Amino acid sequence: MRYRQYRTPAICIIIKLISIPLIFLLNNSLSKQQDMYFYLNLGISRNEYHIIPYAVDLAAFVILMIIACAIGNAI
Amino acid sequence: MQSENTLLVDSVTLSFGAKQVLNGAYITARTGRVTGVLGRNGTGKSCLFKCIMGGIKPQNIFIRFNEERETDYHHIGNRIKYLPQQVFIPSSMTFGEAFDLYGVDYEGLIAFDTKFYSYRNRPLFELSGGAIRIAETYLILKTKAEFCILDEPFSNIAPKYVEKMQRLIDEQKATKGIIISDHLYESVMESTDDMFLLSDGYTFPIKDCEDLIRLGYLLR
Repeated sequence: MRYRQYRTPAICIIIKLISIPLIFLLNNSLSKQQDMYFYLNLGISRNEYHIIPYAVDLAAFVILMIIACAIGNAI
Repeated sequence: MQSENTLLVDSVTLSFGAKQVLNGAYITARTGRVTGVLGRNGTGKSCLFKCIMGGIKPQNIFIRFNEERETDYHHIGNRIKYLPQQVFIPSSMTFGEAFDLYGVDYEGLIAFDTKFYSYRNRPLFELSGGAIRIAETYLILKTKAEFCILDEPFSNIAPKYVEKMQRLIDEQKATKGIIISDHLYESVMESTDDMFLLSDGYTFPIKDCEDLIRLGYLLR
């Protein structure tokens, strides 16, 4: 097949691209401004409230990259 | 946690650019007493509460609990619970989940009003604004804390519930200090032991309606 050599990197790129909307979704759901006082009332500081979404995003990003690499290697 | 607690918030200075919102405002509260905060729209009542909770960073604020030398200002939510004007429970969450997280018995809300029986496992976006407001106010009042701040707890709820809330506030003040702000000033005055008026960024202690007229909060 003429395009066979491009198949594996194409799949890997698509999987990695999927992570972008997923991370936006995570960030959006975790950092809604009106929800802030729900968490402040639980004893979380304002800095922690702002940092937690980024920490979760980073963890999600690393996991997605590992999955993408594993699938790429398997292919 | 001692049985009688005092809270002093002093020298709150907040400005947004050239606009000075709070200019050395202060407020005090203590267990067994309800403190009312009145003020015209835009005088900084909600800003003052948000500054206390850490939601807004003021240019200056001094907070002291009892006679403690140091205050863990960053985790103040452990000691003060705050009801903001807007819905604060995440919309995808259910009342049951929120009550569990705050350690409040949901059965108490059902006893407060039986209509909440069917609302326990429904996400917030399916419920009416009034029902959410009642449940949130109940949640804040019933959560274990030294103080609670209620920003407009009587707005957007039926008169029957205003009376019920006043009774609940009266019951809860035995164990905590409560700060209330609302434009329904008559309901606030009925419920409070101490009153303050915020005007031009300053705090004025209020004794009666005459003070409110003199300071321009009421016309007559």
